[in-house]
Amino acid sequence: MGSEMTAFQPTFSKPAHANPSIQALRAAARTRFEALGFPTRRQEAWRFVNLGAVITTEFAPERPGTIDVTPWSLPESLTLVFVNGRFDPERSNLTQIPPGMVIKTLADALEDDKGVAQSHLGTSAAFDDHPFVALNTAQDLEGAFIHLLPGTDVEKTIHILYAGAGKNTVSYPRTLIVAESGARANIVESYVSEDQSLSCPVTEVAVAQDASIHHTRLQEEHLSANHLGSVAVNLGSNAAYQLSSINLGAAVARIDINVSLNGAGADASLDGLTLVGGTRQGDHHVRIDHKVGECTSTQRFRSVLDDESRAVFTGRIVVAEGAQGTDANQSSKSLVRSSDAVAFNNPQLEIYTDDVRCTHGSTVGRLDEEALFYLRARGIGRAEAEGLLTLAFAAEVLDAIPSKEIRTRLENLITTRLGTETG
Amino acid sequence: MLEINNLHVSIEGKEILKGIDLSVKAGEVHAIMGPNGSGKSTLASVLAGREEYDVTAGEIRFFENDLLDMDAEIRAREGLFLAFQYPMEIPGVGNTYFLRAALNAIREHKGESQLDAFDFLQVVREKMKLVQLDESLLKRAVNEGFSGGEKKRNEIFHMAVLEPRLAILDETDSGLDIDALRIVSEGVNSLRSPDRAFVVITHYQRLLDHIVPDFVHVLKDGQIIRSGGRELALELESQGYERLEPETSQAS
Repeated sequence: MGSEMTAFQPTFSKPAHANPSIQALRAAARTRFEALGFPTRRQEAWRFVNLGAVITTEFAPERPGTIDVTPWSLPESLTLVFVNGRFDPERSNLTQIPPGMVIKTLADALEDDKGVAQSHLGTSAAFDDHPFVALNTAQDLEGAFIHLLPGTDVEKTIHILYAGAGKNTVSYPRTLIVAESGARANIVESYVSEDQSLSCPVTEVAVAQDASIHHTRLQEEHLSANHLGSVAVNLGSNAAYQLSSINLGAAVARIDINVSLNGAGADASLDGLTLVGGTRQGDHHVRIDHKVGECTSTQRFRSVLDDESRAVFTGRIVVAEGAQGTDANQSSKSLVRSSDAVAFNNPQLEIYTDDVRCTHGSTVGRLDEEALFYLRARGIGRAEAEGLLTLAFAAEVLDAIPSKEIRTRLENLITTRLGTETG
Repeated sequence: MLEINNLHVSIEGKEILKGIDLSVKAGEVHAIMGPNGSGKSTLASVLAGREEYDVTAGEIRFFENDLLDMDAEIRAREGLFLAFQYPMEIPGVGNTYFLRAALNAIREHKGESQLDAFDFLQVVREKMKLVQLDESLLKRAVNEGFSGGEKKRNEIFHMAVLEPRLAILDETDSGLDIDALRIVSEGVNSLRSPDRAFVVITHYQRLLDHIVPDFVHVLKDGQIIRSGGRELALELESQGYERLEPETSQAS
């Protein structure tokens, strides 16, 4: 434990929720966080991450603040905006909520009497061995709640934007998404900030039988910020969950993704793209649990590294005993554009049954000099040629994002920003 | 427009070109012929700006500029075009997107306005006819999954769109069947103009039946051992490279 050496001492408010089960959950999480402490690099799961900047900064709890969120807005969407963890109705857009759908703050959802939020909260995101999930769960549980009733097909994009305003603030956004049988939606989460700050978000997703969720998660924090996020997903039979996790900002960003396939025919398709430069670090840690047979999972994770940056991908596939007919595929590729940058790709397979098909492939490469020359010999400058080839490297992941607006913005960002960042 | 004087080029310490002199004027078509390993492709690569070669002596002037002092992309913007012997496949980069970026880079260099997607499409439609390129190939990634002949036609198509002042064709005939050879040659011939010059590098004389050169140079062991008119190519065809001897002794 390094907690006695840290300057960052998280504070905890008294649980305001009337519901005793929520109070108990928060109290248990706090106890667990205090027992775990901040992770150290001696722990296998945190071996590659330097949390020095996190634990030595005196982050203050959420304070009111303002930030211009228009660069990240999706004008046609249903939008919930939170600034420093607090709901901002002015910047949100909840007009024309389609029937069959509930979208509100998690705090409001936990107060009402229907019990959907209460019964799902904490069921996907286990905090026993994850200090930052425990820390998030012990907090005020401010964030978004989305509930799709059976058969609801939401055409509009649902956008949840968590913005950090000011310096040295800490926030613990919490999203809960419950898709009932046959429901479909396209949900975007954005994490943005304007200065050094700490964000420890947790998103829980429950996708019931035959339901289908596409989740675009955009980490676009300030380049000096820290982002330690988790996504936890439970899938029922024939449920489909597609994730596009775009990891662009923050000095240190670590995103843990845990998906549990609990019903036959469930399909998880996880894509990730990390872009890092300077001395920054961006990580994706994935665990997929094939709890039952006849499920499919696909992981496609890409990272692009400049300068002295680091990117880590850990992808663990666990196939439970009796999970026959499992089909799990994983591919991780890194494009290292500087000799001082380092990419780690760690596939991990744990298979406790016979009849499975598991593939994994991992490559670390550089820009193809021959292709670069071909582009330059036609008149395209080196920087633009490198941008084009990098865009091509990321294309598989970008193309799977449903929102054209986001795709176009990311494509422009890759061709213009990359290579311009200095340490 | 192109003046090569006493060019010596090495790669990894091995000298490939051993004193090349060549003068190309606007409107001319020069053929450079020679056996495998004579240095033909090295000459094309050095002209286009490949960086792995060491120029140990000599100079190349392109119009008023020192060509060797320019990056590959600047040479292209100044109007030099290399049709590659082995065009690269670039998955993920669209053929049209790439070509428009290239054309706009050249236009920007010349102080001309950028073409938008619509205007560019007009240019493309017109130029595609020259090489009978199927429109579906425009929508694909650059050369990805193209046949050998389609790749070479795509090179000539790029040339037609970019309208260079000097075009170097590096063994564009290799791997082409007779129909593709005819299409490619007709494309090249239609681009011949008083303002434009060509350097056609080839192993075989058959290409020169279609693209009739004004001058033929024979490159052997890194030196131009003979220069002449079109009849020199025919002489090579009947005699082969082995029996061809320098007409006059070359400085070495």
